[in-house]
Amino acid sequence: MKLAVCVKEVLDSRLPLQVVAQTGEVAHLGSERVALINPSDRAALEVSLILRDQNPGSRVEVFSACAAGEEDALYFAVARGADSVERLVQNGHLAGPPYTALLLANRFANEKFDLICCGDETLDNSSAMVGPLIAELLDYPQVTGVTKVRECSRGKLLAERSLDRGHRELVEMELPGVATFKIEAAEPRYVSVRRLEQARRREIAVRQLDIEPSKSRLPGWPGSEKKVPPRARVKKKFTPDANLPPAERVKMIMAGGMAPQQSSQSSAILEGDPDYLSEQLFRFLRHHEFV
Amino acid sequence: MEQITRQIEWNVTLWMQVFLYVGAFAGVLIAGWRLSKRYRVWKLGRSPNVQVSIPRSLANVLAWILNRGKMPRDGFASLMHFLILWGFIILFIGTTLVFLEQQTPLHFFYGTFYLVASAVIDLGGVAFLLGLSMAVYRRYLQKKERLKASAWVGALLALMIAIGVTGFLLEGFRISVTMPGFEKVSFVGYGLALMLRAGGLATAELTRLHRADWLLHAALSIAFFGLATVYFFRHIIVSVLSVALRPIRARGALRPYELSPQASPSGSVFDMTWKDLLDADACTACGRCTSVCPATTTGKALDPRAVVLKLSDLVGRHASRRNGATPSAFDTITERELWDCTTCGACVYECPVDIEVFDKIIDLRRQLVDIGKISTAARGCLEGLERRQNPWDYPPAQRATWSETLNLPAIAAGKKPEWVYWIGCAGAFEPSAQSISRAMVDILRQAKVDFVVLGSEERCTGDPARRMGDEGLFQRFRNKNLETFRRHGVHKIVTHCPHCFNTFKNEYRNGGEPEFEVIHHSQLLSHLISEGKIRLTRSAADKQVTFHDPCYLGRHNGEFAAPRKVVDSLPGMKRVEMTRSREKSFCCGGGGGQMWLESSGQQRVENVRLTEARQTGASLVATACPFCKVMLETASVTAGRQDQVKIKDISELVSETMER
Ligand code: SF4
Ligand code: SF4
Repeated sequence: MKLAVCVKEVLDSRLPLQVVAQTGEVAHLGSERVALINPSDRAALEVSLILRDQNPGSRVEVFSACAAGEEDALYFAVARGADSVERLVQNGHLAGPPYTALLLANRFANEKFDLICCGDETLDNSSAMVGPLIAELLDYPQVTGVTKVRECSRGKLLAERSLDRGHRELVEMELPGVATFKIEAAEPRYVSVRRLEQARRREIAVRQLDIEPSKSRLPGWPGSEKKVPPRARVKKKFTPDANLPPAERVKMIMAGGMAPQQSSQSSAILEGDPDYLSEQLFRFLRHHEFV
Repeated sequence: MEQITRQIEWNVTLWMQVFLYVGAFAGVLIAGWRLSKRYRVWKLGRSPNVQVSIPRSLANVLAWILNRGKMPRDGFASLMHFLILWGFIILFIGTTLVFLEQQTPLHFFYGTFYLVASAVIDLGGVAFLLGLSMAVYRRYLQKKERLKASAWVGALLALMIAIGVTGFLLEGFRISVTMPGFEKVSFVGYGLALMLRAGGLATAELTRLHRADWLLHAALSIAFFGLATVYFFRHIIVSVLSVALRPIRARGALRPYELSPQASPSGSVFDMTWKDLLDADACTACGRCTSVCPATTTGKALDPRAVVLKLSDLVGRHASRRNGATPSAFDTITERELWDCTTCGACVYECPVDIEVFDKIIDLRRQLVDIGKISTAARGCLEGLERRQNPWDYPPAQRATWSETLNLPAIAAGKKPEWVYWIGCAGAFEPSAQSISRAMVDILRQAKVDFVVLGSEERCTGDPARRMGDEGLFQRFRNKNLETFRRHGVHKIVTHCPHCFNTFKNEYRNGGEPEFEVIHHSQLLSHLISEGKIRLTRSAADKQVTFHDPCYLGRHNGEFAAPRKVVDSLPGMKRVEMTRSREKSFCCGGGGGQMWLESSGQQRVENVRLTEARQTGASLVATACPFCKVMLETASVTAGRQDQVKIKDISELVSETMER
């Protein structure tokens, strides 16, 4: 199986950030620049590496459409055990998620991969469009927001997506296809500084692609199509009544304050051994559709 | 006058002699062959960065034999081991003398020498048997928990006892036949002879019995030689090597990670150093490490002896196999075990044969980290360290926030103050440790000490990174901090954190000369008090105080006196010691990264320690480490007892009682 992973380097959002007025760019306040691999890309990478190890003879190739000096995510992929990494650059200066997708799709048009894995969205742009766009451009099937891979073999991917209220959806997709992953899709492994520094010594392959955006049908970015947020309705801010039992409060919060007050039956104090308690708790949650 | 000597090999025929010599030769050969197989496996380990020097090795062994420094820590065991070892050595020398007398032209075994030697050899035999009976008593009657009564141990003990008993009988038979008066000096043999005579045995019978016993004694001794390199007998030889090759390095310094950057670790035992493998074979299985380990004694998965023995077992498995796959330490040693260690160093301190127990644990942890299979908590902590330069994952910009209102003297170009006061991550971010930093600033100002702080130029020293197994991260911290120190010309540092202190003192010199001087605040405080720079006059509310020794101040760096001196200067307060204090102090549970990791097992280390502190009756626990303070405070809060016993750093106590 051949697996492609698309990754991007982002700034560590847990450090204070600022927008530089002149350039409009986001940078770290004061301290040095701390970049990391986008968390959901990291999950996508981890999923592919696990799939590779489960299917002997597989390869994981990692791609990033980025400028020189922004290869941190690629170095991370090397350190984590990717078979090859490649940085994609284009001839023009077109930036933004649609062009990233175009560039990547161009690359994958030349060489067939069974599964193309992306993070579902990045920390910075949060457009969540690169993965789906790649699929559209290549005319591949896609599944977005995967939280768990059940199985991936014999030309099929069986994956879970999570929906509202704890519901899950099981999706089957024919390969080749594109999947985007949420952070919780895999518990990523630690990459020690020793390995990272060893990876940094590696030369990263660069591939230049000529793309003609005029021929493709791409959505604009940013702002050519204005997103009009729905007008906020005036609503009293909801706070659950502090006198209610905890279970009641949780339920009200989950339902956005809309849950009708139920009779006294809705809360109970249970006692017993852990097995019994967890069983009862699960029933309760199930009954009220928390899970 | 009869000649005072005896006929060597009396009553021994030629074939008996042949049996003895051939057998003994074969026994030694078997033992040597077994050892050489293990030696070949040791050699497969990586070479540690230590030079082997013969004079130093000899000095190590000599010092070890002479001071027996560690044995008296357990009186009974010490005496037992002393009797067995020296009894054995005397008997061995005695046998060698007999051999020399007979097989070489030397002739010395007569007259006074004969008398003295005979008496001493009998004494040795008595010591040997006495020691062995003590061992039997301990294992089978007292049933010491830490000693596992395995069948092997029982068999080997029985073998040694049999050798001792048949040896004495041999002497008894011989004397009972010849009965020379001067043999009274061989008091045991003579006594036995008298008894045999009294038993009414005829001379012919005694001669026959002597012969049978001689054969038995010879056979048992041959077996002993043959078995000298199995199981815990192996330590007789290997422990001498492990002591001889003991590396010179400060107790508190972890050794560097010596895996080459290209290698990918697999937990292979050959990623350990040959010294580690040799060490593992030197283990006497005495269990002293385990009996003091805070992880084992609170019911966690880690058992340091088991780790060492499992390594030894892997060496053995590889030795008995031609070209099998390389054994991996992770086949038998679980991740959980490796992550339970607090690096308190109690095991190394206790080990009678100087095995670096927890260094092996940390080395395996390093491999786990390199493989990337670590817990979410550990990953979070290490990634936070890398990006935010402190293990608590606070934004680095907030490092100086605690001191905003204090108007601290910051380091600046051209300024050459005497001291740099290093706050450390705990002192900067952790609320209950910030009060230590405040107290220290208060004291330094009161004593008019010329000091500056580095403010937001501080970053973690790398201690947690190193002890959690990311050596590369530690080195990055070390390089950056050294660079800061050089840039500002820092030459004297005082810190209230024993972990920072230890790392600066022992791990920042990298084999060379230290670039700066570092002292712990307990040392500075005790100096300021004795110089009269600060005077403690206001008496505190508490009357009794007990002092908890931080591992990285005490056991790892040998500083027990300074903090005690500070505590003793507190007016109106009496110091009481806990059952385990000073070198034997019990960890607070916070070292080795445990501060940020999940705790497993039945009990928490800090709770055990707090209970011990409360048993002294003191209403105040003084310590000299922010980690110990936080851990013990947590214990006191979770036990719902924060009103009953207070936990304070010595600097806080000084600041409270100091005359202003
Ligand atoms: S260093 Fe302490 S916690 Fe670790 S194995 Fe040794 S005694 Fe146990
Ligand atoms: S490592 Fe040392 S203290 Fe522990 S069992 Fe072995 S010899 Fe005894």
